Amino acid sequence: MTRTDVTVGAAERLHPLYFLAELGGMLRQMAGGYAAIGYLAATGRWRMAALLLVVVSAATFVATFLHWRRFEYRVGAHEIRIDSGIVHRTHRSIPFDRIQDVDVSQGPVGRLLGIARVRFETGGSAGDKDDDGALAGITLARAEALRDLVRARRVMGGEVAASSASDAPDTPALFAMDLRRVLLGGVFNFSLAVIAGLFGVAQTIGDAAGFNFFKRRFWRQALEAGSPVIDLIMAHQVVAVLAGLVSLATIGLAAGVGRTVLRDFRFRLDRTANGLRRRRGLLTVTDVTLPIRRVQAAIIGSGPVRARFGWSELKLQSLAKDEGTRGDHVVAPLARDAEVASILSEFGWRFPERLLRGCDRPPLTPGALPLSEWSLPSRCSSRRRSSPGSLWAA
Amino acid sequence: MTPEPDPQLLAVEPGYRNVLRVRLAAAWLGVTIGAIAIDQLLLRATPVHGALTVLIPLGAIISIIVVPQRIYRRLGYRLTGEMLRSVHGWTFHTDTLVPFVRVQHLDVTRGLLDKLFGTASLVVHTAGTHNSTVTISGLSPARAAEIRDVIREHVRSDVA
Repeated sequence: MTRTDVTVGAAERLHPLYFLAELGGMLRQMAGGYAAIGYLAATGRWRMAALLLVVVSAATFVATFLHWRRFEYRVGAHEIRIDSGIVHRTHRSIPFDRIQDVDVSQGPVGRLLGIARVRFETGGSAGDKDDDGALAGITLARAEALRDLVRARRVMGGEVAASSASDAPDTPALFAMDLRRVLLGGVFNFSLAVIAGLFGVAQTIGDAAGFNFFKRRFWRQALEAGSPVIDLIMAHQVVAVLAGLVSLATIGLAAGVGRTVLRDFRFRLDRTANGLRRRRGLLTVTDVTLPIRRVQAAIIGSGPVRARFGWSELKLQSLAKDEGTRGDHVVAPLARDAEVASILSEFGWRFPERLLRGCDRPPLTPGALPLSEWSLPSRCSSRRRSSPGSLWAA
Repeated sequence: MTPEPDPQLLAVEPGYRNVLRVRLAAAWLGVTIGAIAIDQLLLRATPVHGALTVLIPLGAIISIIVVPQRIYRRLGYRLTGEMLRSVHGWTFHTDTLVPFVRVQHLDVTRGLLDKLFGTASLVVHTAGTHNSTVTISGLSPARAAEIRDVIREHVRSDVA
């Protein structure tokens, strides 16, 4: 019927070296093969192991090549088409009007090669496997061109007729985190899960493996005899347990800091023509743009310790999912109330006064704010009440 | 029970019956082999020996002959003003309406069997995390692309 006006551009392929950037994931997929190779090698059947290694490598190579050969994407006037599949072909059509945001991310190898991974988030999610359009590896320049194109199309769609000049690098960031702030956030992300896991491991197989933190034997081996600490540990089981707890706490802290630095390094949030642009990451750099019109709700969260120090986290809920398993887009991992308020004011929302519940604020009418948040009584300290009231003015 | 074909609904390609037959045959193959193996190995000494070897393949052949035609007769779809309607189900009847405005993106997929018998599936993705896809199987590839373009036009004209 309306085939005549379907204008679709020339077919494009992924970067020939895209698989290098995706190597980690591909190696994980072949885990079963490596287990078999390792088993054969361990039992002395070297020839079989070598043969299997060659077969697995060749199969991976051929499959990757076929996948690359059969994967094409086209940019049309109103949509992006992705044709994929070696035998089972899928021709996907993603209208520009339905693209919630465009994520650009680069892993360490991708950064060396200048290859980026692009994901068009549409908000439909039929399973987590390949729910939306993703281009595994195209050149960074092309990725940025695509994102600009999508953004321009969205603007043309009658939404915001603003210029995208605010994208210049010298405009001040809406919110940014320096290394100190990131490290501090890492301290708050102190991982109890890691501690619990390590404790369990230490208790179950620690004795056999020789690293039970809570046993004197471990410390006798770990520390050279003669130091004052070792004498103390030898003397009292209580001290050994204490040393074990300190070790676990240190590991948990290191895990939290490490994870946070990897994720939030050089965190930067910018205001673009019609959205918020977030860049972050140490090894894997991600670049996510979230259209403001798509924001469904803002979530201001905090923890018992964080709240006591006056920090909170701002997340935005949209139809799209943030990278990984988390649902909401973190736009400020660790921010003061003033910073949260300034981000919220970008889309004309007021900082929720309900956070100051019980601090002689007038009660809010229900549903007045599209915000869900939870707060703690500790936020109502006298210090907080003396904050400049203009921040919360409408 | 005789099917009452809704005159408004459009039927899918007749070739889709062959796709269904092959799929059904593949599903029955495992069951048949298992049943025969159990019958020959475990039930040899019992009085019911031989029953499974005869009955299961018979049931398989009957169902492969009977079922696809019945499934096919009850398949239908229709594009109304702003809705896509998909009807399917022999024993369990399902009638799905998808407003074009809610469509996020569209897939046209073709598997090996689809290519053999000249059919394709249209997968409509809607917003949401649960039951968010609607599939219309057995369309001709050209028809699937045509419906996709129609829906895509509607998505475009709606300024979301």
